[in-house]
Amino acid sequence: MSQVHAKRELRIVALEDGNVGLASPDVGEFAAALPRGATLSPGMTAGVLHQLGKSFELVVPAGAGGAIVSDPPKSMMAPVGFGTTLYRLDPEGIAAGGAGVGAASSGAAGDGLFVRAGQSGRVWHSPAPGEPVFCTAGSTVEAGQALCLIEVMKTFSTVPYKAQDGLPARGKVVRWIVEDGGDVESGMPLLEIEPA
Amino acid sequence: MFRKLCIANRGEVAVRIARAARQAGARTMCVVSSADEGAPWTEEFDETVCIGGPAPGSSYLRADAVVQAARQAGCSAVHPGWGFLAENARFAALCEQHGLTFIGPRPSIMERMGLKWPAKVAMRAAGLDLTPGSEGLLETVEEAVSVAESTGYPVILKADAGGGGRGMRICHSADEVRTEFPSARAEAISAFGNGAMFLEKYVTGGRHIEFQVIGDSYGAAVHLYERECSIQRNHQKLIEESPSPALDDATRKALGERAAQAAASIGYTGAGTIEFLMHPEGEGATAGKLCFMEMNTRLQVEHPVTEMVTGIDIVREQLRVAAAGPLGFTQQGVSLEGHAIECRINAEDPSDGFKPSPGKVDVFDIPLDQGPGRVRVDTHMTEGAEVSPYYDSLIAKVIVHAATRADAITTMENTLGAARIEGIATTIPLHLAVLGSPEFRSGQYDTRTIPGWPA
Repeated sequence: MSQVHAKRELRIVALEDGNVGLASPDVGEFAAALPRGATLSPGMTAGVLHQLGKSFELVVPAGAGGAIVSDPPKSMMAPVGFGTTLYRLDPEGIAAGGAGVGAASSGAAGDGLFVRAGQSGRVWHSPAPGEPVFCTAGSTVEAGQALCLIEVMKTFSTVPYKAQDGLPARGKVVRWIVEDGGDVESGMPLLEIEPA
Repeated sequence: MFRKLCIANRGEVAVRIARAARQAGARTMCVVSSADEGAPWTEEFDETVCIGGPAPGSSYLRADAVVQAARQAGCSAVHPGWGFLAENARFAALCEQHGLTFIGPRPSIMERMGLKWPAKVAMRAAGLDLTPGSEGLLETVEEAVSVAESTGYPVILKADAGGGGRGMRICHSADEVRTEFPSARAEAISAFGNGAMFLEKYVTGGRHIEFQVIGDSYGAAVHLYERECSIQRNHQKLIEESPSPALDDATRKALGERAAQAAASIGYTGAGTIEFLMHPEGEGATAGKLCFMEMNTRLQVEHPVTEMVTGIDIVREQLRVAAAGPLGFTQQGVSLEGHAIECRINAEDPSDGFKPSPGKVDVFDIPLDQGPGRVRVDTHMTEGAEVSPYYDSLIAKVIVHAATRADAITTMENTLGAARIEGIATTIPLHLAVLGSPEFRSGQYDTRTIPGWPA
C-alpha cells in the first residue's frame, strides 16, 4: 500500500444541471471513491489520488456538501485529469438525509481493505461508555467478532467482522477511519484491515 | 515504433509532432492545461489529459504531472517539443525512471550541454572554434581581469549554469570587471545555485548560423546543413533560411562535417542544433570565423526550413532513433536542394511596440498556391480559434521552398501579401518590410538591426 503523503482539496465546480461537482485537483489515479448516496461535508476525506508513487487524501473543501448522486468509477484506480468531475452532489441531500450526516469521518480512505458500514448512524468503539474498546489498531479480528456498535435512532446494533467483499478470514486492524462517536454513512469505510 | 506517444507541449509544435506520430503509426495523447482543454487544435490528438491550470508553472512545466499523465494513458514515449520541459535533464531522467522513452538525448548529455563551459570544452575538442576567452572557469577576480586584458574589451562575464541573462555582465574596462565580477557571481549563485563563472570577448553584430545534427544510438551522427537566423528582435528569431547567404559551399561542407563529428564525439542521440556566431569584420583574428555559441538539445522552431531543402522529416527521424532504430540515411544521402525561408507569424502588433494581441481569430487564411515555389504552413490556428493570453504568441510558421533564393523571397511575399488574418494583429507587416528591403534581398544583414524596419 502506498503511503498517504498529504491532503489536497477537491475543487468545487458548478455543473450544468445546477448540482455542485467536486473535481480532481490534479492528474492521477483516483482510488477509494465513496459510493452514491454517501453524504459529504467540508473537511471529510473523499478518496485518494495517486501520482507517481505519492498519494494525496482528497478533502471536501469548505462550502461544499451534500449527497453523492453519481456512481463511483468502475476501476479501483481510475485515471483522471486536473478538473475531472469525481462527484456530483445534490446540495439538498444534506437536509433530506436527516440524521445520518457523515461529518465526523476525518481519516484517510486509502486503497487498502476496508470494513464498511452497512447502515448510516453513529459509531461507538466500545460496548458502553468507559468500557474497553472492541478493537483498536493492531488487534486481530476474525469472522463474527464484534468491531463496534452503530447507533441508529437510539437503537444500537453490533457490527461483526465478516470475511466477505475481499476481506481476509483473519484480519489485523490498521486503523479506525471513523472516530469514536463519529457519524458514518452506509457504505463508507469504518476501519482499515490488512491480512493478519 | 511506439504504440502511443505522449506530447508534452501545446499549440503549433504539438500538432506538428502529432502529424509525424500518425505517419509513424503511433497513437497520440497530448497533455493540456485547463485553458487549452477543448481548443480546436486538440482534436488533432487521439486523446488529451488535463494536467493543471493555465499558468505554465501549473501545467506544462510540471514534470511529475506530465509523467503521471503519460503513464496512466499507457504511453511508452514522451516528445517534449521545444520550450517548457524540452531541455530539462531532470524531466528526461524522470521519464526514464518510469519506463518512458524521452525523445531526445540522454539526460547526462543534456546536462553537459546545458552547462556552458563543459559544452565549450566538448566542442573545442571536436575541432570547433570558440570565441576567445578564459581557459575554463575563473577562480578569482584578478584572473578575470588578466584574461580580459589579453582578449581585449569589451568582454562578457557569463555564469556557467546561466540563462535568461542572469549572471551575465558586459564590461568595458578592468575596473568594470573588478566591480561586476562579484555581483555577477552572487547573482549566479542565487539564481542557479552555481557560482562558476567564465569570460569571453563580447562580440556585437555578426551572423547567427546554426547546424542541424542528428545521431542514432549506434554512434552514427550526420548534419543536415545550416540555417541562417540573423533576423531577430530582442534575441527572438523572426525569419530563418537555408542555406545561409553568408557561407560558400566549401565552408558549409567543412563546418557541417565538424558539427557532425562533434555530435558523434559526445555520443549525441536524437536531433540537436549547434549554434555559431559568425564574427563580424573588425574582430581581428576571428573576423569571418564561425565560433561555437551553444548546443540546443532539442527540436528547433525553425526545423522546417531544413526539412524543405533536404527532404528529411526531422521529427520522424527523432521518433525512429528514439525507438532504437538506425538513422534512415547516411551523410552521403543528404543533399541541399533549392532555398527555403520561414517567417514566424506572431500575434503581436508591430505598429504598437509589438504588443501581444490575444483574442478570437475571425478569419484565418494563408494561401498555399501563390507560387512560384511551394508553401507549407505549420499552425494550430483555425477560423474561430482563440489565441490564448497565457502562452507564446507564435500562431503560425509560413515556410516556402523554391529553386532559388530570389524565387523563395517572391513566394513568401506573394503568400504573406495574400494572407488574411483578422480579429488579431500579426507580425505579417514586419515580415513584408524585411522581405522587401535591399539588405535582406542581397543577403547582407546581421543580428544588430532588422532590415527594412525602423529601429
